[in-house]
Amino acid sequence: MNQTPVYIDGWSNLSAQATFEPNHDRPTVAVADGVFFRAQEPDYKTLLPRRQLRRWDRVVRMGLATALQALERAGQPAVDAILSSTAWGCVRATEEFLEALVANGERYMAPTAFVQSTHNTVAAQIGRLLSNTGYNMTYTQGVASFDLALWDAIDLLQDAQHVLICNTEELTPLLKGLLERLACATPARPMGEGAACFVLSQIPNSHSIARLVGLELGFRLDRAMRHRTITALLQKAGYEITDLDLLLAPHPPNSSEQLLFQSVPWYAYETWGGHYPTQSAFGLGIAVAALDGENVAQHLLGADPNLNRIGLYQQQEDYWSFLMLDRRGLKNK
Amino acid sequence: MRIWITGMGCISALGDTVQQHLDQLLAGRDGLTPIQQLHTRHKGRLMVGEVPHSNEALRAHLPHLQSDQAQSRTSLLGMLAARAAWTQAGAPALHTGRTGVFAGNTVGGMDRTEQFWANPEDGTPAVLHTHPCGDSTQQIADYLGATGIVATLNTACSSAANAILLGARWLRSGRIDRALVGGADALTQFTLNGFHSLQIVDEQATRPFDETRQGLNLGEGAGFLMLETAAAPERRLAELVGYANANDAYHPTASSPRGEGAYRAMKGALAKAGIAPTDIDYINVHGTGTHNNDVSEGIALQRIFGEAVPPFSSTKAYTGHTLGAAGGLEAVFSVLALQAQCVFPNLRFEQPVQALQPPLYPISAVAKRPIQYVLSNALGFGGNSTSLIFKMAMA
Repeated sequence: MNQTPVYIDGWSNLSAQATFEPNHDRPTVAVADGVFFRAQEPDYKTLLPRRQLRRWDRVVRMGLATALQALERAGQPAVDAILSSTAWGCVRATEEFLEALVANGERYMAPTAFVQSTHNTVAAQIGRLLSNTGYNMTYTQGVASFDLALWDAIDLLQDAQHVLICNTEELTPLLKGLLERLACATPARPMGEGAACFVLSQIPNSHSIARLVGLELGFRLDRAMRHRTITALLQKAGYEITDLDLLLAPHPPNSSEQLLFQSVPWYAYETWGGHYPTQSAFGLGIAVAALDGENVAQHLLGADPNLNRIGLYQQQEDYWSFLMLDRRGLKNK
Repeated sequence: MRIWITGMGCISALGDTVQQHLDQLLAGRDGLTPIQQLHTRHKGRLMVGEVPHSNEALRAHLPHLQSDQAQSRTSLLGMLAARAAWTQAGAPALHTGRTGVFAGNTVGGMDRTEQFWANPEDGTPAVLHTHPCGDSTQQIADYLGATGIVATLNTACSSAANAILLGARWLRSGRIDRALVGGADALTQFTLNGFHSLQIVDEQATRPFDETRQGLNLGEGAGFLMLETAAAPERRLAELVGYANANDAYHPTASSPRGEGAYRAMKGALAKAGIAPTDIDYINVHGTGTHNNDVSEGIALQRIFGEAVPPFSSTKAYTGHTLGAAGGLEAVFSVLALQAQCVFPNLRFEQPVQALQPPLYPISAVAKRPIQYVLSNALGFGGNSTSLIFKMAMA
């Protein structure tokens, strides 16, 4: 458990919904195209240095664009650390190098795709773009990847002032084909992709949107233990479950989750972003955007001026996590 | 809060046990051979540090492995090294959720993915479940019955060193009592051809920090440590006292001319340990044997240590560059140096790198000497730089 509160000062969410374009004037809810959602991408030429743009893979562009937007919203702080997470890595580059290996029988190999295939490409390129020589880390642990990076960020903020944390996940035509063959993507549960980035700070300031009250995560914890842990986290911070104005989770609640979270309104975000391993970053993006008064998020969650406290929960495979945001006392309240 | 190393395990071209590694390091015998097992057009030509066992042979040494669950070669190597570290630590029960498993790797199950990719329409895509890097660490945790936190880092060649750093930080948070930390990576066509296409693979045996160096040899293996905060004195093999990560922020594959990332990582680790550069008695350098790394790292060493660079060597001349496992294996070698009070030679060194002035001379022969602190560097693609400092455990 990590109890020291930290503050979210900036966010960016590039997703299947129109979450990237600031205050989209006519929000609608995008739906899946078949069994996949596709991220709504901006025109990168207006956002990223043109000279380098062609050298960056799509997933790197997604990561860089969200990093820059999050930093802008946070008032351009100098960050002490850059963290990233991805379960799948840089898929397109990996595929390209694999394809070349097979097609050319290991001959005439060009290194470009190999270099970009490394999981830490996104964090490294953000670091390079910002000339940031601080701590730089990349997590890849399936559904836990983003939460583990978030844990790291909160821990770093005991000393650090500002930390940038970015999650990226990309779908490619080839990967989509494989995910369909594996029956991971189905009409009932379309899959998705996206990038989301946040600036976290140790001390609240004029940019702070929400306080991250605490983060709990674990593997293979039984239901009773999980519930006790979540209740204890909230209690230590002076809250009860019913203080939550709403709960965001990837999935609809099962009966035990209904029991735990009682009457707290529950929103399943994978119906908006599609499911993918690191979708908890998308969920956090929606939550922070709603607390920041963004149209699209409020369109999804319903505009409620009294929305202050959001819980984020996920339980997938053997893994679960919970965190809580509270915006009271900060810039919008 | 102090962090003790209470167990070690490793497997590489040098052997299957920690003792075999120590024997080879002291004998100055490398494990490099022309490729024998990896299915590649470079077979029999390029020198590598290959673990001389088939996957079936590795599996035979892992009793109770669930046969219905597929494992990548990376996982198998990782399980063997992690189990050895756990065994030496007294084989504690890991089902309480108070033990974390933190590991680095760069290729995950790429070996199996490559087989699938050769005939994607025929094969079953289910093999791709072992592709993600995180699957390897999860399988290691499952094999040992560890139910606590599991985390995989992929920061290229510094992955395992970062896993050690992360395990230490989780221990310091009080959230766990024990951390199994390290890394694993198998040789694959993907990485072999990747590094070959970058033209940084030496077709002969690698010569780190030598003027005539032509590049690296790839290797495979795994190295793990058990870290604990509460360990009786007789169980302490060494202490982890310093760790830091920094970013070179220069180039995707090359290090900066001034070695900024390595410099900052070493500086940070010294600060964390609360010691001066003059306290370091031996450095296990990253030392890949590429033109770029050895100059850049050498300059970083000179920036930290001035003209008094401590005795140093690259043990990649023995094992090849094991990528995501390197930081784990070299952490084991660092502890071995403390235990044996001995530094290991930098094989095949003849003449110093001209670009480094004053010239840097790595250790050329096994030497007994008092060693209290060992510094270990791991530098990766994207400029990811990590330094760890180990201290002799006082009796």
